[in-house]
Amino acid sequence: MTYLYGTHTPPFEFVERELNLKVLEENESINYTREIGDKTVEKSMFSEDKRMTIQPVEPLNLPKEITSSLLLDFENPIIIDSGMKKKIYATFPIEIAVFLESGSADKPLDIFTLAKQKYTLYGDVKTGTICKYWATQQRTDMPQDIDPIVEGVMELTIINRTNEWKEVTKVVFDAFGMKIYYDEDKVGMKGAMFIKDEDLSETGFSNKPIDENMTKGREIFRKKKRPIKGGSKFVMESGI
Amino acid sequence: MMLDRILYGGVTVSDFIVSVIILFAAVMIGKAVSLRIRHSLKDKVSKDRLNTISKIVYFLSLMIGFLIVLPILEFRISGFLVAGGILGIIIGFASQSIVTNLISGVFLTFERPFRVDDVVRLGGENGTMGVVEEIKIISTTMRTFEGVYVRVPNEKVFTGNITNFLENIARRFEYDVGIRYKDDADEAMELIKELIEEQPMALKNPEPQVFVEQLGGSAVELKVRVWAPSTEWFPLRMELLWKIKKELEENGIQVPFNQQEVWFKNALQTEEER
Repeated sequence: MTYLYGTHTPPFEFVERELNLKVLEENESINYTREIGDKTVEKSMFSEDKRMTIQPVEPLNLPKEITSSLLLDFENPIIIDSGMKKKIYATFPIEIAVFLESGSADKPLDIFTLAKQKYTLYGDVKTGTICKYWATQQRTDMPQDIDPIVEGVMELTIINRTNEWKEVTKVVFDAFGMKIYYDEDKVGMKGAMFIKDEDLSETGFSNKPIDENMTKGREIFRKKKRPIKGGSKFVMESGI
Repeated sequence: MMLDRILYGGVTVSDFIVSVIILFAAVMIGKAVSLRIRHSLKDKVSKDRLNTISKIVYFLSLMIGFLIVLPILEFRISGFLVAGGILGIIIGFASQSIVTNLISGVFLTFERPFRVDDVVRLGGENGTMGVVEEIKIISTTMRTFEGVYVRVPNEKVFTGNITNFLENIARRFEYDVGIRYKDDADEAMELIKELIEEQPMALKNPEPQVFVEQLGGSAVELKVRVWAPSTEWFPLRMELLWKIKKELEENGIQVPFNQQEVWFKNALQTEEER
């Protein structure tokens, strides 16, 4: 069985659902063809090192790079008691990047996604943030029925540092700092949410895999552009 | 020697040459440093701030050059101040509008009602609309959507109405869609909502609204309201209406022509019946 993620040497082919990815060697060139539905991308390349790495990346490139934030909308609210720390599992959308092994981390050969594309506004139109939107269920144990070419598993630790119970309906991250790990059949990352005050929560990522033997993915945006201010934490001031 | 020849006071030809070299070096250093700053900060700082920073660095370098050169050329700064004061009064009277534009430019820099690359309309409903290219100290330059270069004096910008279409990050647009009375309005609204949900740039929140606005003369009139990121507002607005029309027609719901029922007092007869 051919797994999508990992480093491949041409020729290789991957067909799953509406995705058909084919890389063939012809004379000295590498011919790359990717089809999703009725859209086809074809590229020819010349490179000494013909190996390619296919891996999940931050869901910020498609359909257009307009935001650095990701909002996960929980299907049901999570109620967490004062001073409590709770680990839950949710999902997040992924985009898939194809890199030439010898190429730069911020210049993938191709990026595509099978995840639904949607944006939303967090906060008001004056001071709010446009976010990539993803609706997710939350579970207390690691989900096993996740399609790794569509979505990943997020292990989210919620810490309520206030003196009263809190209801969490959504969580917003600065996705420039996403630390995505993957193996052949799983994509995951660890995140944390600190509820600090009445109207203030902070979110961030942990640079650790959710499971053993997972490979750290290349971070396109950290390499590409890291804004001076803001760091990789997101401060939620417009409700949780 | 030629280099020791005195030009005026104690200033020799060599002093003059050294001064020119220093000024030239100051210009080159200023340009090099501001270029370096532009390169290193281009992805991290907004374009207009980057412009301001690089200009400040450039003029700072020039100023340092002048401050080094002035004593060599035996110019006294106090003399400059007196001369500058008198000159200032003369220039002030002679060029009132330039000064007004300059002050307006300073206020615009502080107030920042728009930034470089913002889409704005300057001056009322029929004002100039386009993309801000540069905010200079005397004037603001824009590129209209027809690709025309427009220079607007800062006084007019500052005292006139400014509409900035990208100041808020999200913006709403709306359509009126009429359907026939015999069509199911609930189904039509559901189809439109599903279509909006499929559009990535149609924001999930604020939620789109689709409702019956009016029972019109020829049609049941539906109102469709959609929010989009301000930068993506126009492309989405352009493509969504036609998609709605096609989606409704594919499901047997039609946009009606204007209709009018006419009742005649006497039954009409054809030519043959007469």
